Amino acid sequence: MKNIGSTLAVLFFCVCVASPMWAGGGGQSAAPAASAAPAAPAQAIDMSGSGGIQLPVSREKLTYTAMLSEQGTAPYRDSFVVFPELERRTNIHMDVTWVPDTNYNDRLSVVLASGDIPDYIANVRVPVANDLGPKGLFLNTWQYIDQMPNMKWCFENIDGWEPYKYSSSELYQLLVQCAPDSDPQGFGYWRQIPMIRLDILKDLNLSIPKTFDELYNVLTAMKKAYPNSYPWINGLDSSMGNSPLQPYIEQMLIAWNGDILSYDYHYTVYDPKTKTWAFALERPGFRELIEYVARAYREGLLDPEIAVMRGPQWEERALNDKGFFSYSYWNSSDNINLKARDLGNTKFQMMGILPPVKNGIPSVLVRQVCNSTVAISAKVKNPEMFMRYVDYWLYSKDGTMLSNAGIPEVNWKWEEPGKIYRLLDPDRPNPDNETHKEKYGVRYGNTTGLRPDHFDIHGVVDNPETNMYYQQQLIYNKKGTNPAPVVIFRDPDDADIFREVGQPIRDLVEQRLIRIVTGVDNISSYDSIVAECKRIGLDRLLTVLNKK
Amino acid sequence: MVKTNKQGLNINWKQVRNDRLLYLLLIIPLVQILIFRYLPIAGLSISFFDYNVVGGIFSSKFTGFKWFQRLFASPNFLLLLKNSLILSLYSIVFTFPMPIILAISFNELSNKVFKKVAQTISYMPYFISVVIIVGIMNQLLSPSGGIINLFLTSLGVEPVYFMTSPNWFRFLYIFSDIWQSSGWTAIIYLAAITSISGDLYEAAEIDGAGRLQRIWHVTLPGILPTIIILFLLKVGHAMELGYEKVLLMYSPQTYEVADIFDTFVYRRGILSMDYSFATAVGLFKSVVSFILVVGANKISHKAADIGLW
Repeated sequence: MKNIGSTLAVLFFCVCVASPMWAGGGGQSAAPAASAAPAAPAQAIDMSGSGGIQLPVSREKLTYTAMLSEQGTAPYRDSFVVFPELERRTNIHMDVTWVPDTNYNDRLSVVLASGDIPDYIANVRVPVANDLGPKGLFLNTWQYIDQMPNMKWCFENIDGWEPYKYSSSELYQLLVQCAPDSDPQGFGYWRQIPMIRLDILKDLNLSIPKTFDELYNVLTAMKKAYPNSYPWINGLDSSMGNSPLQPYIEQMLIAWNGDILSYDYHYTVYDPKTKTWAFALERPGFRELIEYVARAYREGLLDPEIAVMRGPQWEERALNDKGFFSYSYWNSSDNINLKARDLGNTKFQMMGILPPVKNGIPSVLVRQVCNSTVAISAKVKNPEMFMRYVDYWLYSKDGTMLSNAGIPEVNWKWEEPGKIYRLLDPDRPNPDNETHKEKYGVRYGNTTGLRPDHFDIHGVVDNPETNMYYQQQLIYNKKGTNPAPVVIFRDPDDADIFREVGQPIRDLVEQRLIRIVTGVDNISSYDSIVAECKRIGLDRLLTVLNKK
Repeated sequence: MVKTNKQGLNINWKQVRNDRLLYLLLIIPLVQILIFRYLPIAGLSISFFDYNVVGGIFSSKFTGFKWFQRLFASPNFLLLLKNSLILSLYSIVFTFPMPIILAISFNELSNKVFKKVAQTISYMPYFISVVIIVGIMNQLLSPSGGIINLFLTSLGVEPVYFMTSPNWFRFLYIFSDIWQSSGWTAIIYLAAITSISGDLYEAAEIDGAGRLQRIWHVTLPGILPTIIILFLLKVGHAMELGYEKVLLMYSPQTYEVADIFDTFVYRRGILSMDYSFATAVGLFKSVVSFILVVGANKISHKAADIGLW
């Protein structure tokens, strides 16, 4: 009896120890467009709400899986409305796995390596989609284009979408977070924009800087008034591999010499005039840009911890008057303003500004045609039905309003029917996009396809600062934007060269440039960087990028 | 229980039956080792292929030693090898002896209450996540507001950029490692020390040995087998530097001293999705570790007749 009792006890213990091991989750889991002023669509978009998609999409309840990036500034809540409302309308349930944005890339890589991916997977970079798509991991969504009237309209009428196709009959990613050129709320969408403390400028009787020289003078004046500060703060960006330079060099460069630097292409730049790729460090002006940044660092204008500063430190600097200017995400200013007000600093006013420029260079920003791309698993069940669901969600008018503003008459209402809408929140008299995102999960990262402005629908807010911000963006957008280029490697050997040579070049350039910026190395070491990159294989990299 | 003779293995089944509960308990960790340590070895094969994530290993193209050749020809290779070996060596030379010294010190304390409190405080950092540790380091060592630099500037010294200076990286890595792990590892040595017979200490005291002499002639020889076993395990894990900490601590400014195989694998394998190449790097690292542990085991047998096998 005693032995049986001991045996049972041991077995029970074994089950307790073993159970966590068996429990587990399921598999939950660029030829560029030319820069131009906004163009009118060639054909009228289908203005009916669903754009021709029959609702509900499915007669019986279907479940699909998705992996999405959860924003640190607006973590997932049960009050998020997009997917429950989509389910009500389409009869399709989306089982979403939210992965924190700080380690989304790591998780994505591991999930892709497993080969067992969710049906809908967000933030799949263009090179990855076009490498793994033809191999059979992602669905060729183009074969369902005739069942996706809304997406079809976008490809036929919006500049810059066509280069994302692998071939005339293949498309391995869907474009999301797309803002039309005329969209004032598309200012610096995803890419970093310059922002500055307007209240500090007012206190010091300074104007918004329009050139890099003016910026330097403003930073110097701020340093003099606040000696314990480092007026220019910039930190690491996890979506750019925690690069200490990329977040601002990218936006500064286009305003410095017109070159487009994009994170995916390892310090090679695209010249939209000649339509060719070149090495950034060999371009005229790049060395001077580095010298400019290095001088700012030397004179205490640029924060000494640029190589290690993360989001919370950036916020701490900004909120405590230790930093006043930054290149950051467009919504960082809204976030930080809200936080400052909550802390009682009602004067605090961090605002996006038009990019300072070098004399003679037009003021433009690097902007993606669409902020991100998503991929669909090749093993998705009933792909026709799923693609109709996606088409409704991401590209129809009703789906666009749901994902950008929420449920009509609950989260927003018409101010002028069919044209102007206003956000609603029973807990806040004057909600804006940021508070709505936090509470209802609208305008949230990978859950939006188009912006309402595609349908000539505009939101209105009564916040004078936000309106001023948007007005500035309108001025900027009228000057035009330069979409970031897209390169698709159709030859596996080219993709292999890109991988073999690209990352080592990036690592080397990052390492050596930050040493120059922080004064560890002299600017005279600049030329040796180019020589070392050539030894690694820079010429081979440029050859594959420039292949037509 | 198990004897070998000319006919082969001779298992005493009666004894096995008597100890059946112990064997039952052993099944779980054995299965865990099999699943998480041995089965993944099959995955190393992708280092010889151009791995196709869709079709799996059987539809991947065989590439032989291509990825190893690429590794050895890589401009980073020598730097990675140098950094990995140096950090491993520092870890063995500086981190390894600290728990021994700590355990011996605790053993010599006469005040039992103070001993318990000190021991508890010493192993508490072990439970702090490495993310928190690096965060604390960033705060303490910040050039613009960290307490260390505030103290330095109060003395008229210029702020030191500890976290971004290649000169400080290795020191900070090892120091934080010692702070975090010494207390926990000392527990093992303390357990070994308590197993030393008290008669030996009495006899040594009677013979006129002082405190240090008792430590040298009684304590250390008494825990020598434990030291050697743990040393061999440490050598075997020499190349396992814990990439999370390095990843959190390093930046392009410190790549020249901080970039190790693990962080390289992270950048190439995870961020760049170059799975086959990253696996080849990992396999190379494992081969080096294997050579180190086999060599150290042989030397240990020759020197002290003690070894892992």
